[in-house]
Amino acid sequence: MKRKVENRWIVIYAVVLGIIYIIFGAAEFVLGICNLFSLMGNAGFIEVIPADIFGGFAALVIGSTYLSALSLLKGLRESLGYILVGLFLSVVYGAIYLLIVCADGFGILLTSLEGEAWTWEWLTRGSAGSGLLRPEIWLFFMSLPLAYLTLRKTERRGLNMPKSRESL
Amino acid sequence: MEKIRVALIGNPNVGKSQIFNNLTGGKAHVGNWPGKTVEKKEGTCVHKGAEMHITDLPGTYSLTAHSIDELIARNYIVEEKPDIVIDIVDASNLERNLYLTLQLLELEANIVIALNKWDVAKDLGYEINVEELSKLLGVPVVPTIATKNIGMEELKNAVIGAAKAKEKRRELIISYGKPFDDIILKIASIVQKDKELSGKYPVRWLAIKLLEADEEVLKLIDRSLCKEEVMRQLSEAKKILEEDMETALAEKRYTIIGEVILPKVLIGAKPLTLTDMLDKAFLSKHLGIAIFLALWWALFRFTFDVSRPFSDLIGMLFSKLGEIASTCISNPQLASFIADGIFGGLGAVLTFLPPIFFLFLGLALLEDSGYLARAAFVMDRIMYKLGLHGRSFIPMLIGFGCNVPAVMATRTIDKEEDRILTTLVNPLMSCSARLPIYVLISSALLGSYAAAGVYSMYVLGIVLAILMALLFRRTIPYFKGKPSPLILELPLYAIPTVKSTLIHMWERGRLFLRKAGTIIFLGIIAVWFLSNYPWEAVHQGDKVMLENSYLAILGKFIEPVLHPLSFNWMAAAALLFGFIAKEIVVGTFATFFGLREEAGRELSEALRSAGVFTPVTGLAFMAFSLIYTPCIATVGVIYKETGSWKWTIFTVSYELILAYVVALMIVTFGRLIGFA
Repeated sequence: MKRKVENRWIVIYAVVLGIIYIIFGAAEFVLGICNLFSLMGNAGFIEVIPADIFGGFAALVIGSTYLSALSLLKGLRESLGYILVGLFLSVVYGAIYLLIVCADGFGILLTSLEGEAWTWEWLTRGSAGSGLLRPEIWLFFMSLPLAYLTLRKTERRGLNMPKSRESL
Repeated sequence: MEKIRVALIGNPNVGKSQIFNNLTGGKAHVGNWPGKTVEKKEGTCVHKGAEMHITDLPGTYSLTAHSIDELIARNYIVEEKPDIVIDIVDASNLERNLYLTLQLLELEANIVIALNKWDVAKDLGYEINVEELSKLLGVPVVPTIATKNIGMEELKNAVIGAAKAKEKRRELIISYGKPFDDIILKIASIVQKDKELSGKYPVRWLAIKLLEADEEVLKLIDRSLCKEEVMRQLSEAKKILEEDMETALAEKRYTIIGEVILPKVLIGAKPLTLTDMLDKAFLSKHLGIAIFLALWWALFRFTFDVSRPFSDLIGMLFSKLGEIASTCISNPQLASFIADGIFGGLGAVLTFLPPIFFLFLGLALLEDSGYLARAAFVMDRIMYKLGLHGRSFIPMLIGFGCNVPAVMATRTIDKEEDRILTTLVNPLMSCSARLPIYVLISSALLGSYAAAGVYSMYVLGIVLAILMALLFRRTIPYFKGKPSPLILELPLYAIPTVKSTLIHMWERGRLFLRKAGTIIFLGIIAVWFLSNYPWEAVHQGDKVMLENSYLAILGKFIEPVLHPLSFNWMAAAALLFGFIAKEIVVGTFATFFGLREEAGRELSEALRSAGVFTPVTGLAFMAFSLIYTPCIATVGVIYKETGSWKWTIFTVSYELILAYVVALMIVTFGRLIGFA
């Protein structure tokens, strides 16, 4: 399968996303380290950016993957894979954090059935750190135009992607 | 009638059996290879006045002496010397398949190439110059589509033609470049002097195999008069080349295929597939391992955080059942047995059903998408350097589910030393039975770091497995030497179907359910009995004096040994029952706290408020649970797979010592940096 890729805008978009991921990832990672050695609990002095060592590391990986797409400018067509994998990781993390927020809501619903007061706090504070404000969630939505651009600029002729293993 | 002896060879899954059936009309004599349990298929085919006797060799990626399949195929070609070897090559994966072809050419076999899956290659956009391929390799090449019985007549014609032109065939010498070629030439000229050897085997092939330190060929040389001269030459070669020659020569062969053959054979640019593009990132030297760790972390957040409300729901259900039982049953002992023993203990264990199923759902998605095989490939770079076979990664991954099938999966590793080494370190991979312990302790004591605590246990397991493998490889004479190289087929990426993912999840998850219904259930009843009896001493009016129970006596007996780790008698008793099955550890704590009404989250709160652990000792307890013997079933299967009490006792002993040492280190380090 041959793919024609108009690289420039896709690469620029990926690099911008990569930089944002790296900034937030580094912040989460550093805050996580600081928190670990201060009181072994969540200090939470920055509302939006959670103190999360491993989450920060994952965001750094997503950012680095996007940035690796720079080699597309050198004409290495297969480097489009970096953008595709970056998008995949963005989707995975965006979906995971959204699911965690939903699970928090479900948990609150269960406790309210047992007589505890209902609260909306789970939307902005919970297992995912800052709930719906978690950077990876809105970065996931920001990645969607890139997914659209990548697919639009890519001819899907003869796509080597079977629907299931059984069909191989 | 002219008789032609034909051998069929090829990589696994290239359509070899289909071609065998097409040629023989499906009539095969099935037996075993002499002295082996590997199936041998033979059949005949009459074509244009010639009778072909066809032998189907085992599917193999190469002709080294690492596995029984490879040895059978190689020995048949070397010793039986068939007139023709039909090498079935997957046209959609030339690079990997031509590796075997080059080795067959080195063996000086009379080859006919069947370029199978021609249709798949066309669909993928490959345009192959068949004539150029034939010219480059000096052998006939016939495109075939075995599934549609296309190209079979041409293949039979080519076999008859090649059998007649046997003597005229151009001999192809594969050049490995300097200094390899010079060394090969020197060794070949020495071996040439041994008339018995040179009369039976191709001398250049012998020289290459000697450089690769092929055990079977070294045995041949051992009996030869030229042994000393060859060994001297080999030690000189080692000094010059200073690298693992087997790997170096394999890389050279792939370079020849990628840089010499494919550019001339593939017309136009190599088609770029989605799999190629994704592999660029997933298999990247710099990012591959980081992406693997990031995906692993995502899996743990999914397992731990998303499943939590479902666990709470199960906890609520068992809480109601316990309440109903204690209200309806008037006999206090029976009420305690049903409510505390059965609903309390079992309920506490079953609240961990959601995280276990979520973990397996995630693993099934990764496996069905084709990523897990890549993970093995990416990790091989580290594993090989650290003394483990690349294929060890698959049993290690299975170990995240259950160590019993994981130890059994080590059978896929060919070399016995590599296999036993993997078996010894496999129990360090954190199986799903240990997850409930981590979830309980970390959610009780680590606050917002709960998921990180669980994740760190999995990372600790991997790190310890690698370190122990390295240690055993370096210190135990039986394991000395290097592991054999990994050859792994990477499947195409695929979108997992809901059905197959759910089936995979269920197949693994039901093991936990089955254990919950049998061994865990019995263990929990034993724990309930030991913690409630002698009844009068434990139940004094409204008070429950657990410290008077048999379980407390048992726990207090072990407590002094675990005192340096700051584990009290409750922790000691829980660990003792963990020998039977790790899930019982959680059930034991539930019974201790008499949590017939509560489970899951409430158990965590009870554990925290009772002060059984601090965050540091909790972490040490998690590490101890991770490292010491997983369960009786695993011990049994280790004995079965190693066939040795020596290795089984060694595994149990080293894990106990390691668990103690690591837990002690965590507690000591924690105290040093100011944590209680």
